[in-house]
Amino acid sequence: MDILQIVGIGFLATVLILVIREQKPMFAYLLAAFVGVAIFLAFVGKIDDVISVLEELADRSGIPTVYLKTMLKIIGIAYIAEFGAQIVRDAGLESIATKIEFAGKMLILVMAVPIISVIVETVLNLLPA
Amino acid sequence: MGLMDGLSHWLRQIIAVVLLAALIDLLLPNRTMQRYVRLVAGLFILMTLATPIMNWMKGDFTGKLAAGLDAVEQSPQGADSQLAMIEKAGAELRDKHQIQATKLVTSKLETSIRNEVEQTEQREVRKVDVVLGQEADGTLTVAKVVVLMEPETAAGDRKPESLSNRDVKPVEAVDIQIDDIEGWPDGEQALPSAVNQEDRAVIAEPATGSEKQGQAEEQLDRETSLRISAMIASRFGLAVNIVEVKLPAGKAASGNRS
Repeated sequence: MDILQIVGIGFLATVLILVIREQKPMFAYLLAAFVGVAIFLAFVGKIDDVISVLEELADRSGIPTVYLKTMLKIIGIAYIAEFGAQIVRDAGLESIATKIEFAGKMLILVMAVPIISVIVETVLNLLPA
Repeated sequence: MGLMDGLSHWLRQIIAVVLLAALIDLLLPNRTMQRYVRLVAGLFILMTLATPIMNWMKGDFTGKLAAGLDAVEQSPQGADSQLAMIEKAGAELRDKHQIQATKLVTSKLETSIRNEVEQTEQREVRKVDVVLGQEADGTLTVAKVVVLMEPETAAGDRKPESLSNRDVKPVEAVDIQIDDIEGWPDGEQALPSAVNQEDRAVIAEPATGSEKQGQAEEQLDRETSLRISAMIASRFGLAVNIVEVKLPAGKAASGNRS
């Protein structure tokens, strides 16, 4: 049922934005941003179920919790950066959207740095000095 | 069995991490982030595969990894400058607080000293100045207390006639002024100087009288001031030498005028 509501809201918003855009492009953009935020916030809570399943999986298989935490952080960064970039892109500011995505990518890569350092250290230790 | 257990645990870990990576790949919003997330997921899978080797090489690599990730997490850019800024703001707030406390202490102390002196001496106090000093460890100490006594009542207690003279004096000057205006049409230029002489005489008379009495009064005042300062010192727990009792400078000015 939820999906029908969401599609309805999206459809309605699209029609309204198309009507308004000729007269007031500013309000069309604001409406688009608002509808986007509303849908995102309404359903970002559902990701909770997925995360709890992932946590259970991690618990039962005994993988270190650091892995799961880091991966979830990466997903969060990716989602938020993507969302912000989309809203900015709606306004036609492609360059700023690219910068936001760049920041997200950088943060994800920074998360990978400790893993890489541990692996490199191990490999260097494996080789005879 | 120990080997079998370890092996099954290892396999389970690998399967879980691969599943996790697949799920996360699925959860991703779009393709722009996908390459980066895949890199990290691949690194995790690699780590899991290499776990036995790593455990063999060195004990607690997981803890080390966790510490590294936490360090990345908790060191935002510009943390040092922010800390300095916060510390500066804190110091400013502390200074402000200190100044307010000093003001409050000063005013309270002044009021209580004034009340004390007025009650015990039955004399008016014109002004009490308390100067606070700060010691090295930040505690406040009283550096100096100056009590300025009101002269009129003091004089009134001892010699009411001279006081009445002094009080009347400005009124007489006004009377002379009125005479001037009546005699104005007759002697136009000569009058002001005559008036000035007369005026001066009127002023000078009580002033010379009060100078003689002033010396005696000063003697008395010295005793009084010593007594008051000793009283303040004992009541408020201060050293006697930082308490100073003064008569206002106005009296000295009236003496000088003659």
